[in-house]
Amino acid sequence: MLGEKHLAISSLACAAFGITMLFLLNEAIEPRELSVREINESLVGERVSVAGRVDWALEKDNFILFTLNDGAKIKAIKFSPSWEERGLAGKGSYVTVVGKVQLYKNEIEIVAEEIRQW
Amino acid sequence: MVETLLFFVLIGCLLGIMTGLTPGIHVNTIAVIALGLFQTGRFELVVLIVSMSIVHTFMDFIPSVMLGVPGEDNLLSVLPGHRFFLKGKGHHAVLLTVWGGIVGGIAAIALSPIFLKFLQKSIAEIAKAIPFILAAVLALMVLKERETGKKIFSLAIIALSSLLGIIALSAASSIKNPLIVLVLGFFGAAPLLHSLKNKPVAKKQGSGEEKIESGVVFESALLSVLAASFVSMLPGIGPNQAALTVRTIVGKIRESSYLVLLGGINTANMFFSLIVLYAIGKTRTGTAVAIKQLIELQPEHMFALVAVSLIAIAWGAIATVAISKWLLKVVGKFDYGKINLFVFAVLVAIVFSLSNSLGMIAFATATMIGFAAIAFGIKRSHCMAFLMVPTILYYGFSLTLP
Repeated sequence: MLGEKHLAISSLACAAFGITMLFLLNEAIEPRELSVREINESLVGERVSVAGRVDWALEKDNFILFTLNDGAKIKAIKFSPSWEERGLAGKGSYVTVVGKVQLYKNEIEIVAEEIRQW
Repeated sequence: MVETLLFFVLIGCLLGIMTGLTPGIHVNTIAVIALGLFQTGRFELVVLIVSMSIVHTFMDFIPSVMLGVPGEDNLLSVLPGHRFFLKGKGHHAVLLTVWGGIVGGIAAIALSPIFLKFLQKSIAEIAKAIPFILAAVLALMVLKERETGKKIFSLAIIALSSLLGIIALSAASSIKNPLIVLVLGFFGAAPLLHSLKNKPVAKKQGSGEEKIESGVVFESALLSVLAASFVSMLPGIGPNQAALTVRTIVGKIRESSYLVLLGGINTANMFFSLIVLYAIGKTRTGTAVAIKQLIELQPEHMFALVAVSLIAIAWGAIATVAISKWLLKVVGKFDYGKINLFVFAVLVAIVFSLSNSLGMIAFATATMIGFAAIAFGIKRSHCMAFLMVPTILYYGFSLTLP
């Protein structure tokens, strides 16, 4: 038979497990903060966070293609950008891009999950 | 980063308490407000929305049990839940839904890899079977009425509810927020009106020390995961229809089991809707819609959301039990008839604020149909036809009114 005591124990065990999981996953959730120079083929598939200035941007209906410059340049693409992200990724603006490194037509680029204000 | 995420989990859980306790305020509304309020990373907002949604699935049984006021996702809990309340077992009813939420939620998380595989392979076949299942459920509901007169009345109630649902929920309808308007009319205002007329008296509330059979909890909660998997896969099927279908197929089910079932479906469905969003990009809940606008879910996000869901389940369970106990003491001090009158006025105010003049007419119509069902001694669950028939039309004939 189950009472409130069992409920409290189950809930606390649940919370403890969840919090432990979050701490263990911390490295996987947190993108690696890198400069453009540090991004190379060995990082393909990894989530990274890169800050820089938008040197050039091409905006279409379902994506924004832009170049990020922090002393070195890298291409980035954001599919289905929000209105806020469209506003942020204009030429000359400073942004932080979080996304996955991929190899496209032999060129390293970032497929952005998120474009934030720097 | 973990500390930031835990902070947003906490904010989400607190918001979930607010949305759950307040009839008419849904997680969708708060998700949209949160998007505008918090200038932060998108994944942190996703964490806030998920934890709020999960806590909401626990908390929103409190108004339905104590005040007879349903939410969109738990409207069929009002009947058995409120009956427990009138017998002085309101807290016991809430505990049953909490156990359903804990076991159902954890089971959904544990079974999600299987659900993911099944989802990708079988969704088309399941969609084809839905109109037949729902039509069969409606037919069974009528046939289960004992007297011929009641069978005829239930057909009438089903016909009227269906018509109202088809008109109000169609794409061409000018009614603002039609779903909550109809839910509050059929399952909120109608029983309250009946209570005001008949003046039931709620017995003194016990403290819920009555133990719960573990078999009841685990059987019903596992059944709820199965039902929730259908709810999360198919648009137009809500937790209420899933619970009704299970109840009709399984046969006689104790009210206590039914409350555990509903608690489990609500929480499990919330988690499964994240899996559906991740796997096939479809949204089945307002929560999923909000998340889709924020971020494209990656595997590492999903693992983190499992952790967040576990924390939110724990918070939802403990907060619901504590608040339920406290609220019962408060509610017990007031005249029950005056509480009913007050809640009725609040419902009218909610519909007035959320909807428009056509919505008020739909609300009044739904209230009258629901009241008629109660007055004729027909099961109020027949009014579910307002959702079921449009769903049958959608799946069976690809019909939505223009």
